[in-house]
Amino acid sequence: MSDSTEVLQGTLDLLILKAVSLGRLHGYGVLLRIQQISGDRLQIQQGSLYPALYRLERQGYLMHEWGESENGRKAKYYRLTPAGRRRFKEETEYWQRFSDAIGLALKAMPEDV
Amino acid sequence: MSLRSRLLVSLRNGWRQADLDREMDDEMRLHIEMSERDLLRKGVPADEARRQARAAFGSIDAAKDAGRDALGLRLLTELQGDLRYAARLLRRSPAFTAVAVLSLGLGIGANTAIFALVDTVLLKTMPVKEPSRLYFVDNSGGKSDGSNGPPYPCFEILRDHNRFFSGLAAFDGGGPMNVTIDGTPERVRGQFASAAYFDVLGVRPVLGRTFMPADDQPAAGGGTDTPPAVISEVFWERRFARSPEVLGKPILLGRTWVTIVGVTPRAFRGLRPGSPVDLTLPMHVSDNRLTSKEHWWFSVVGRLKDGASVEEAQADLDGMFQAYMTDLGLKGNSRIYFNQIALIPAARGLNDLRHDFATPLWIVMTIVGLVLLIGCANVANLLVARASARQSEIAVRLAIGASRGRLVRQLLTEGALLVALGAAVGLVFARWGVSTLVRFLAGGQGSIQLEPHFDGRVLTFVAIVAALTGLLFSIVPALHATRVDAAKPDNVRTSTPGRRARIGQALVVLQVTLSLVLLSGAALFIRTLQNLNSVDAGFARHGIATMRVEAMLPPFDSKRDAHQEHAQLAQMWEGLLERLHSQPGISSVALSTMSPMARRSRGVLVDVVGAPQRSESDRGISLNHVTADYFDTFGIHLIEGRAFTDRDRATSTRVAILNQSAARLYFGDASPIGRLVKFPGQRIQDPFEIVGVAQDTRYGSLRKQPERMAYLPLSQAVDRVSSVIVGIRAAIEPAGVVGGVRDAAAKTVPGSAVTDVITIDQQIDDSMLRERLVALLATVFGALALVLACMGVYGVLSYAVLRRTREIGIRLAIGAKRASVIWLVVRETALLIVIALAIGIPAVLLTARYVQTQLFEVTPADPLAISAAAALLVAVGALAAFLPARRASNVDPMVALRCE
Repeated sequence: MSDSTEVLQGTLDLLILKAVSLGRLHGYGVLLRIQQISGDRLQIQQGSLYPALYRLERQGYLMHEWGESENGRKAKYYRLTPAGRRRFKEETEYWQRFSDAIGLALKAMPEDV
Repeated sequence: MSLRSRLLVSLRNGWRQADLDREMDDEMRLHIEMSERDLLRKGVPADEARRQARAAFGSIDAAKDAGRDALGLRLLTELQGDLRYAARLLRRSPAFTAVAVLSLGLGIGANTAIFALVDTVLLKTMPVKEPSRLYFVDNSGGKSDGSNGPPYPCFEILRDHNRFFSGLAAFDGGGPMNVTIDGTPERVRGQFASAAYFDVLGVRPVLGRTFMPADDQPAAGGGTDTPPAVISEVFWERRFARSPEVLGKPILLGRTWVTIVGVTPRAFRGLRPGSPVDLTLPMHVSDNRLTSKEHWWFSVVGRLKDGASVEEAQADLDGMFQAYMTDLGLKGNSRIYFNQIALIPAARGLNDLRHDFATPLWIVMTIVGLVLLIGCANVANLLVARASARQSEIAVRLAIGASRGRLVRQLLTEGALLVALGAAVGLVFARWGVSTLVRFLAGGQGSIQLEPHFDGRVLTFVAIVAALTGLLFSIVPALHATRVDAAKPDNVRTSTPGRRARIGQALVVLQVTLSLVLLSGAALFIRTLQNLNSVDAGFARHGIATMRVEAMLPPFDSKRDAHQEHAQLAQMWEGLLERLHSQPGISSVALSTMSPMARRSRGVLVDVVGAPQRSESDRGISLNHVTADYFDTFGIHLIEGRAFTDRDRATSTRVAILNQSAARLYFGDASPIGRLVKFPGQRIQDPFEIVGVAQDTRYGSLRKQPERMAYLPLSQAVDRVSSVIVGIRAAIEPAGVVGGVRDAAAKTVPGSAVTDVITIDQQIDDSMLRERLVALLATVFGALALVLACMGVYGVLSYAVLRRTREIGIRLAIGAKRASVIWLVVRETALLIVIALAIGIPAVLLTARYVQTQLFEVTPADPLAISAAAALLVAVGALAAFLPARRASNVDPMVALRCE
């Protein structure tokens, strides 16, 4: 795990929206899904996952329903609301523009200036 | 998401806080369990798996804390903590809490009580359908509040031919009625109204029916067998215990039977605030005035059609009204007053009460507002003083990282708790105050019956006042208290007391200034009352009882000869007088058609025979028919000539007495004795010879200048006298003579009814109801302000003495006299009061102008009132300074020096 990267402030929300956009998940599932789709390269403070989930739900991007977990326990499953889906799209576009710009900026050589 | 919906989510979350907490807990534990299970599957040993799962998650408590924050719960949790903390602090200093809560409670209570009254009398609209479309049809061009309707025949024309009203209804002024229900005589407040009344107002019955169009006609004209009666829900409850059997119940009014057909809802008690109606009867039951083309005795209310404008409706009605008046050939007096139609908004009902009480109520509202401000200053002062005790605590909390905003919030929470307690106490005071005021207003003969409710409007008012109050008294101390240097918690005592003392002094100056304004006002109102009590009214104020005796006469018949009819009536009244003369205990008795203070008047035109006719307004004069002993009984002196005697009969020379004002206007300095006057337009056209001049008397109100008046012997009346006022000067209590009058009337007057028994003293008191109310409230609240200000002065000085104990000790140690130490403290008080007076006296001079209309024979800048108030304040200030000053002089130098 030495090559894993800590999640940037503010990108956890985006990752949660992405994970949940692929299907409904409980909290632990969100963690696993993020690790899975990032090829285990992102390191997430597990405890900080929940405040982020609550915040997104309070903002109206997520909703929850009750279901049964794999080990037969009552679990809270999260999924996107229509507003959440819109938000996810906007955030994704924004992130791509941002990372392109940062990438471009970092590639710059003395002779480009 | 909007702030509002986020707040709502927060609140909902706060509501289910315990549930949410458990859910968070479950969710996070499940997470750790599953993570542990996955580790086990990878072959990590059980102990190690548990440890790693926990470590990877981190602190559950921290996560939950952050989670709570995300759910918007933190603010609420902190608020709970703040509240608990504040409650503990308040419990720990009961004296402070009691004084603060009482100051606020009295202030808020007074404001709430007066507001409830102001709302009921001045602000509320009538509980009817779309009140803003209702208008009174005023026939005096807006000279009245809308109560001057047309004569009934004219009303019928307007009702049937107008184009812009969906309905017009007539209703009379209402008042006490003597009725018989189930054989028991009772007095109820009733009114007469035309059939459309309830429909126009949109008042639906809660039981039975209201009036139908046919109810405008007596039975012979196609109405029901007996006329219908509609009662109020309040009366239904009080008299009939809400029995549905009430429908069909007969009521006897005079000689007429009526039948209850319906009950109107609780909220609706007629269109005259302060005069609730319990019984409404059709117009035609009233009496025979319906056919009179010149009697102006009821009011008209109408509902404008949708889209109709006030202007076009008014023009439409006025056209018909002018035609009616021209047809009638009405000139002279009637035409001066009843000249054109004006529509007066009826949303808040007839405004006679508003007219009388608007200014007094706003004055009292201002007074209680100032009292609350003084109370606020007191609480602020206490908080500032207390903050000194808490400076170390606050400095410590700042030092260990509490934010200033957080601390201000904590202190504001304390303020909010105080004000909430104050508001709760205030509501109790307010309930008591309102019922006392309602009783006060209902006490007089005019009996103003108000039913203020502590409804949403009043509670909203309390909430707003409480919020403003809380902010006012806690924001300054809160900001001030946290302006502490966190770095030196132990040092604070030397760093700020000067500023704190200055805040306290400023607050005391404010209190004393406001108190001066209130006390001066109270003094002005008390002087007004005194002046009214001592004004020369032109009649004896004490020992006279009056009552009205009504006769039931056959309907008016214009074909009968007036001379003959009036002579017969005079004979009947003389019969009554003769019997009264023989009653024991009565020393003097007279009959008259008007009496001082009785608020009835009869205006006619007068012409002096042989003199050029005067202008219309100069011809107007009040007319009073009296028996011989009238002037003696009421203590009215004759200036010139003679009084009436028993020899002034129906058949003898017609004679008249003028009062001074009339004599002066018509005859200047010349003597009127022997001159002749006539009353044009009356049924009796004979001239009257003036035989005397009586002193001026004030009628109806002590404030008004005396009106011109002509007295005629009752035996030579120009009016058809159907009721008289019996004035009695008796050696016994007035109640004792009523029985005798009733007996005498029963034997001599057909269908006699004796009503309105009252002494002149009572009538005078009633006529000064407003003045007494304002003077009473101004005095009570002035005294309250004084007490609050006194507490303020005491608090500030006590604190000053405490602060200067060391200095005083040193002064004493190096040989200062005790007296000079006392002077030190007194000087501070004196300075504060001098400053307050310097601001307060100009403030009084500026504000007193606004109450001028309520004063009587005292100028707003009355030096006596202001200096009395100032003297009182100085005296009380000295008293408040005395205790701290004595404490200062008793300081033991050794103790003082050792104490720091």
